[in-house]
Amino acid sequence: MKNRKRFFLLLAVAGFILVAVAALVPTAGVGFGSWRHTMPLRTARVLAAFIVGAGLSCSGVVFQALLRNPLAEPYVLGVSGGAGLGAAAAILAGFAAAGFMAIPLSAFVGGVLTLAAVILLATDRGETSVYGLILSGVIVSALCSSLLLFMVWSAPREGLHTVLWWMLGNLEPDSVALLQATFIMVLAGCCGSWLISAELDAMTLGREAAHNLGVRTRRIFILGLALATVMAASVVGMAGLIGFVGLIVPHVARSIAGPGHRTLIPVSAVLGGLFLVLCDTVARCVMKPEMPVGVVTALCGGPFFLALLRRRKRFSWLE
Amino acid sequence: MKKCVVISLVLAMSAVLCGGCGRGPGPAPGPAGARVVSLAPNLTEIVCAVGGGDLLVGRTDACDYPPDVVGRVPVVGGFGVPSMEKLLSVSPTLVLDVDLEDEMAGGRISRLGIRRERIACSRLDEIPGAVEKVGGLTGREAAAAALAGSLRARIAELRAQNRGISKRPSVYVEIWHDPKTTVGTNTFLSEIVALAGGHNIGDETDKDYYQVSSEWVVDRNPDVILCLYMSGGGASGKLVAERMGWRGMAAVRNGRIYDGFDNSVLLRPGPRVLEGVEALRRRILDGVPPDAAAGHGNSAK
Repeated sequence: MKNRKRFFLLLAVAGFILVAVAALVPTAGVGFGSWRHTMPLRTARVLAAFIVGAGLSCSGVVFQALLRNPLAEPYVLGVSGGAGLGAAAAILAGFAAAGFMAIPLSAFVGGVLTLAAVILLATDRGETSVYGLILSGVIVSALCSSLLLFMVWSAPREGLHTVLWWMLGNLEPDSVALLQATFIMVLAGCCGSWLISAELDAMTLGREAAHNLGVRTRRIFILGLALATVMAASVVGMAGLIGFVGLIVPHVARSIAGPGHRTLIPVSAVLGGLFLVLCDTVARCVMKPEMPVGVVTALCGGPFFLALLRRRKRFSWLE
Repeated sequence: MKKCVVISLVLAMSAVLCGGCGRGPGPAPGPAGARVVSLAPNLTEIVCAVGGGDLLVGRTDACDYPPDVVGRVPVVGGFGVPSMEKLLSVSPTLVLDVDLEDEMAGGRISRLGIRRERIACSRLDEIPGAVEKVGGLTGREAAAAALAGSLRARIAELRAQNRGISKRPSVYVEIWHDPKTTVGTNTFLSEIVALAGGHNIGDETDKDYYQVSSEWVVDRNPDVILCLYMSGGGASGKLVAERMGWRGMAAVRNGRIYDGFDNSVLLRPGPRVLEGVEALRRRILDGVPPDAAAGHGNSAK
């Protein structure tokens, strides 16, 4: 227990240092001379990376618990496809000029609508099955991708690239309001899932066991899905699709903090945030012009995850 | 069996075409009766500008100028992506392209007995040469020589004027906003900005198009911001000014964010390019003293 406390303290201190350093390090090609103008921008970007990383990994934890599947991640139920479709519709319809919120909001709506459709498809006589959810998630995702392809294909030629660019992911917020809105959504999602952490623990044993432990499984199931989706859809709306964070950070956090959600949720939120801050700093500092951050998350995250998998098998779900 | 039918059809068609070559009542001297397909919007414009619009029998869906020709000529595919079937259906004798998406298509066109000409026309200095080449191919040499000559003269004149500008305004060209994307050196847009008297801040990288951060733009502190979004965009300049942290930039403080350009003029290496450059030049050099701009404003001459 004492060790654990020390670990959390260490995590907090390391995290604070990382965030501070990240905000100080200028992007490749930018000098220190204009720091008075560039510092606030960089700070906003680091905060955005933290919020997005925290939202993605927290959402991943909840999806993995509810679907009892170690491969579950924020995009598993089609949030990504739906959000991409929403964003593409907004871009191609020319809403982009309506304001900073236009594309994120359309992406958010697209993501949430897709999840609603997936849940409806997977529900049979009031029962929502896990396999039904995963299957219909995969199929709805595929459907969304083909619709997106169709839209891109039928769009004026120049419109094509802009949609694909958006999908690559970008952590730079253009407005404080957008950052605030995403922060509120992610904070609400994290707090909400933390409040049901005991129920989530029970749900990992299976719905029948959870039911016998006195958990209102259906209500918790839908609530958890809604919370995870709100987090995923809002960060996708702000930053586009950033892979890997929501899949690997929950596993790393589980191997550190154990499977109990009361500690797992905050630890993975903080770890996810720090991981994405680190990746974004690498993405913007190492090369000029900067790389898409999704490339870095995959390149850094993949090998690290594999190493962890070999060393600490017993702590994770992957046996 | 099907193949046989297609081949015999193709053969029949080429026989008809070859037969037609000799007797065509051509409206002008040159390869009389030429039936021209243009696979690029700028080539369509060039063909029409040299007076060969009546020879056009096919265009791409990206060709939108000149409107009277576009309305009359059928579409045979996308920009650089011909649909073979539609192409054959208009029985062309000459196919012009800048670059084909699938180079194999070029071979297929040639094998069908249709003359296919690739015309280098993606850079500023290639435009007059392309005009002359198209003129030669369509038998409009005189008109083409005149147009090419005036383009060359005007480009040289603008370059000479630009040499007199002591400090060129720095220009940030944004071609998309989410993520922010600009153009590097070696792009047509960068050449256009230079000809219009500005200096593209993206020139420090030799990539064509790349993502930039707000931080980088703010650090470079450009004098002018151009919004040239590739898909619609409308009143995008206003949003640029409202971005987090952009308020202190010289271009934003001085209200020098420009949008609403006609992209089909500005982004297209065609005969109207100088119209776009003149419009851009007025904006970029706005506020630069006339003596420094050495004759700026004499464009009517």
